[in-house]
Amino acid sequence: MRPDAEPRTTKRATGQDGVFLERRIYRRRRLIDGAKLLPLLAALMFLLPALIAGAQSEGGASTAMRLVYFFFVWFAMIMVAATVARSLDQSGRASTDAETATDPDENGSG
Amino acid sequence: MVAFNILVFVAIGYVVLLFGIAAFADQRARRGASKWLRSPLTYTLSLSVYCTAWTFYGAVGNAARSGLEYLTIYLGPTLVFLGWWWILRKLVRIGRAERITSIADLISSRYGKSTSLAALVTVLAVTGTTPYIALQLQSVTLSFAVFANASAETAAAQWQASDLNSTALYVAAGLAVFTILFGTRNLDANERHHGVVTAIAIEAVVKLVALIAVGLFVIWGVSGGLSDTLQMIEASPVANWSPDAGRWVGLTFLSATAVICLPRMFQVLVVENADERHLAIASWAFPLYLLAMSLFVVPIAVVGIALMPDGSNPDLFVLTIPLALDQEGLAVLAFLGGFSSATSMVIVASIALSTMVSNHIVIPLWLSMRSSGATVSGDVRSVVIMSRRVSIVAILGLGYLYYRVTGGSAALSSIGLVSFAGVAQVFPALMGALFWRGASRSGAMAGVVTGFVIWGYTLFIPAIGLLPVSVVEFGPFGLGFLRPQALFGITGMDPLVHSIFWSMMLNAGVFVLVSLLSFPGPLERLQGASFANVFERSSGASGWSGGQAESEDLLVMAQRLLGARDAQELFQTAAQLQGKAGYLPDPTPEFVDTVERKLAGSVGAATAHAMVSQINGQAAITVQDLLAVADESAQMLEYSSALEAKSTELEQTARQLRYANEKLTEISVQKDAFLSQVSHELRTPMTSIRSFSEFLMEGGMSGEDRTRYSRIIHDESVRLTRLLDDLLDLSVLESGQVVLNEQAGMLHDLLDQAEASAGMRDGSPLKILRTRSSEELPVFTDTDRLTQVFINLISNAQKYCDADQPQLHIKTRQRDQRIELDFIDNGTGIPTRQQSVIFEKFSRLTNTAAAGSAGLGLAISREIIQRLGGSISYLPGQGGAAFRIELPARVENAEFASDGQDALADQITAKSASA
Repeated sequence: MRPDAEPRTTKRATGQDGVFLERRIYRRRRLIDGAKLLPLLAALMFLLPALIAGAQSEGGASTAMRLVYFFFVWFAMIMVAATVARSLDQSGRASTDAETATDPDENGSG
Repeated sequence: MVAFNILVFVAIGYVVLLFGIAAFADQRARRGASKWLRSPLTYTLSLSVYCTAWTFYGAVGNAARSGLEYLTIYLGPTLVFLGWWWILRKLVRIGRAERITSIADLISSRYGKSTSLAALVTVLAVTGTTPYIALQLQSVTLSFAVFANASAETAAAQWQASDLNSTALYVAAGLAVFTILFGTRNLDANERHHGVVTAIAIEAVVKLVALIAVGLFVIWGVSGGLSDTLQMIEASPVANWSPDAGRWVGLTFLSATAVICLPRMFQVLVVENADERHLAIASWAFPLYLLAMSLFVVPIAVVGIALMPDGSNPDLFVLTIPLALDQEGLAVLAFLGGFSSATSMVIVASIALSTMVSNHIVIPLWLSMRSSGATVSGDVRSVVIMSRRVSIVAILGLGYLYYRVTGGSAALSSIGLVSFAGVAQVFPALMGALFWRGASRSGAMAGVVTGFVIWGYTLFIPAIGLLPVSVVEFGPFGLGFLRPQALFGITGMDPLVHSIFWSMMLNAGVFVLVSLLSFPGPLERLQGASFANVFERSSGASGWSGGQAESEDLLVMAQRLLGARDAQELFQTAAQLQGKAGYLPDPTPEFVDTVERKLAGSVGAATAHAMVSQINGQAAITVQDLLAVADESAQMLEYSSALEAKSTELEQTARQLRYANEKLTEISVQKDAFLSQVSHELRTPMTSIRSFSEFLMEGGMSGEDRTRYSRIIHDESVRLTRLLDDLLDLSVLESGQVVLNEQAGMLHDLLDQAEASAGMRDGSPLKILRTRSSEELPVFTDTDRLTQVFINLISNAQKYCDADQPQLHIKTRQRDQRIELDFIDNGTGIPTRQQSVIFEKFSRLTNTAAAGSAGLGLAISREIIQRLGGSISYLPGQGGAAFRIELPARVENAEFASDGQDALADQITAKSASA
C-alpha cells in the first residue's frame, strides 16, 4: 500500500469528507471537539490558582478555600466528562453504520 | 490493642481471599463466563494500581509536609483521562491492533521492531520501578511494625531492623508466588489476566473504602463536622503552605506523563483492556476514583498533626490515628487498605516488568546464543514462561535488595517522584510514536538515553545518596556548571523541577533533532505510518515481501510458541480464507504478517520479527519494495484514469451509435411509408389513365368528352413523368454525375424568378415578405439549380404553412464569405422529432394533409445546395418552419483569386467527394 502516501488522498478518494454533513454526524464532530478541549479547560482551572498565588506572595486565598475550590472544579470536570463520554458513546453507536471505512473522528481538527 | 498475631492472621486471610478470588475469576474466564470480568467497572478499578501505598500512606504525609501539593499527583492523571480522546484512545487502539505486550514493546514495535530500543526501555523501566517496589515493601513492613510496636508490652519487644527485613522478605516472596501463579498462566501476554485484574479491582475497592472510612471517622468522629474540620485546616501548619508555581506545574506534568508511561499503568490501561468503550467510561470514572482517594487526605493530615505527638511519622497517620483512638477495627481496615495498595502495585508492576525483561532481554539473548536460532527443537513456550517466572523472582528480589541496601531510610519516601521522573523519559518517544511519522529509531534511542542519563545524574543518584556531597555542591572535578542540581549554572530551581526540566527538554530536543537528521529504515517507516494512522487503516501494509518461508516451517515454529492446538487453528483458518483445505496456507506476505503479529503477542514484536525473518530468509521489506509498491500504486492510478478516459470515450461512441440507430430506424420506417406513398402516387394517375383510356377505347362519345379524357390522360402522364423526373434528378445528384452550369446572376433576380415559378401571382394566399435592398448580391453559381431550391422552399410553405394568413419571410444577408438566406414561415413548424429527417429522401410529414409531392423536394434541395458548396439546414425556434441556406459568396472570374476562396473550392470538392 502507501508507505509514504498522504492519508488525505485516500480519505478524499472515499468521498466521505464532504463539506456538509448530516446533522447527527455534525453533532458528533462538535462533541469530539468538546472532548478534546475539556482537558485544556481543566488544566487551566487546575494550574491557574497556583500560578496566580505564586505571583502574589501574601494575601492569597486561604488553604481551606483552595481545597474546596479544587474539589469543586475537579468534580464539575468529572461530571462534564461523564456527560460527554456518554453522548459520544451513544452517537458512536448510532453512527457506526454511517461512517465505517474512514474514521470520522480524525477528520475534524485532528 | 489488636494482637499482632491476629493482624497477621487477618493479613494472611486477606491474601488467601485474594488467591481464591483470582482463581475463581480465572476459572470463570476459562469457562467463557467472563462478562462481569470485562465490565468497565473492573477496568476502571484495575486502573487504581496508580494509587500505591506511596499515595495511600504518603499522600497524608505529603499533605502534612507540603500542603496541597499532594493534589498534583492526582490532577495530572485526571487531565490525561479527561483528555482521553487525544492520547489514551489512540494508545489503546494501537495496543490492540499491534498486539502490544508492554510499553517497551510498543516503542520497539513503532521504531522498526528494534530489539535494542526495547532493551533500553526495559532497563529504564526496571531502574525506575525497582525503588518503587522497595518503597511498597517498606510501607507494608512499616505498617506491620506499627501494629507490632503498639501491641508490644515492653521496649524489648519492639521491632528491630531484622524483624522488618524478614517481614519484607516474606511479603516479597508471597507476592512472587501470587504473581507467578496468576500472572504467567498463559503465554500470550496480550491475553487478559482475569484473575489478577479481578483481584486488583477488589483491592481497589478495599483501599478506597479504607481511606474513606478513616476520613469520615476523622471528620465526624474526631474534629466534629465539616466546618470544624475546615477551621482546623486553617489553624494547622498545613495552612501555611503557599503554592510554588514551578513545582505545581512540574509535578502535574510529571504525574500526567507517569500515568501513561509507568509500566504497570500501561499494563492495566492498554494490555489488559478488553474493550475500547471501557476507556470512555474510565475517562470520568477513574478521575472520580482519584478524587475520592484524595478527598480526605488533608483532614487526616491536619488531625494527625494536632493529635499525634511531635516527631511521629506523618506517612503513617492513616494507621496511627485510629490506633491512638482505640479504633482497632478501623485500624485493621486501614492496614488492609495500605496492604492492598502495596500488593496490587507490586503484582502488576512485576507482571509488566517480567514480560519486558523476558521478551526483550532474556529471549533475544537466549535465541542469539543458540546457533540454530528460532528453528530450535522442543517447546519454546516452557522456556518463555520459565524466563518470565525467573524475571518475576528477580525483579522482586531486586526490589528487596534495594530495600535492604537503602536500609528503609527516609531516602525511600522521596523515591516515588524520582521514579515517576525516570519512566517519564519514555514520554517523548511515545508521543513521537503515536503522532509523528517522522520520528526515527535513532532519534528515540538518543532521546531516551539523554533523558535517562540526565535523570540519573541530576535526580536518581543524588536521591539515593550515592553522589559525594562535593560533587553535588561544586560539580564533578570542580566544574560548577555541571552541578547535578544546578546544570549550566541555573540555580534556585527546586531539584526535582530542575531535573524534570532539563531531562525532558534535552530528551525531547535530542529526539526531535536526531529524528530530523536521520533516515528511518523501511520497516520503521511502515510502522510509523500504521501507528500514526491507526484509525484510518483499511488494510495494514505487510512488512514482508515474497520470501522463501515454507508454511510448514512457520507452522513448526508457531506450534512451539503458541502450542499445537492454537497454531493449527490459526493456520487452518488462514488456509480456509485462502480457499485451501488442510493446515498449510500459502505463505503470502499477509499470512506471514498475521503469524508474526500473533507471535508478537507472546514474545514481543522485536523477537517475533527476528524469529519469522529467520525462517522467511530475511525477506523483510526493503526500501526498494516500498518504492515498488509506491510505483505500483502510481501505475494503478494511471491505469485507472486511462480506463476512465476510455470508458468516457466508449460512452460517447455508444451515445452516437444509439443516435444513429434511432435515425436509421426512423428512416427505415419512412422508407416503407414512402414506398407505399410512391406506389399510391404512381397508382392513382395510372388508374385514371387506364380507366380513361378504356373509355376512349370503347368509343361512342362526344368529341368534347374525348378531348377532356385525353387531357386527363395527358395531365396524369405529366404528373407521372414529373415524379419520375424527380426521382431521376435525385439519383443523378446523389451519384455526383450532375453537371453544374455556373453563371453570374443577382440573388434578387433568382428569388423573383422562383416566386413567379411557384405560382405566387395566381392569387395564392401565401404572402412573401422580402427586403429587396439586402438581396442586391451577385452570385456565381448554377442559377437554375439554386432557383429550383428556392421554388421548392416557397412551394413547401404554400403547401404546408397552416397559418390563417400564411406568410413567408425571406431574409438575406452576407456574412464574411458566405451568403445566408432564411426562409421562415408563420406556421406551426416541424416537430423536433422530425427535424432530423426532413432532408432525407422520401421524407414526408405524416400529418400533412397536402400530399402534392412525394417528399423528395427537400432531399433534392439539399443535394443541390451541397453541390453548390453551401448547406441547408432547419432552423429551429423561429416560430414556424424555417430553413437556412448558406452559400459561398463568389464573384465571376474571381473564384480562385484569394486563398480563402481556394479553401472554399477545396471544400466544395471535398463535399462532392464525400457525397
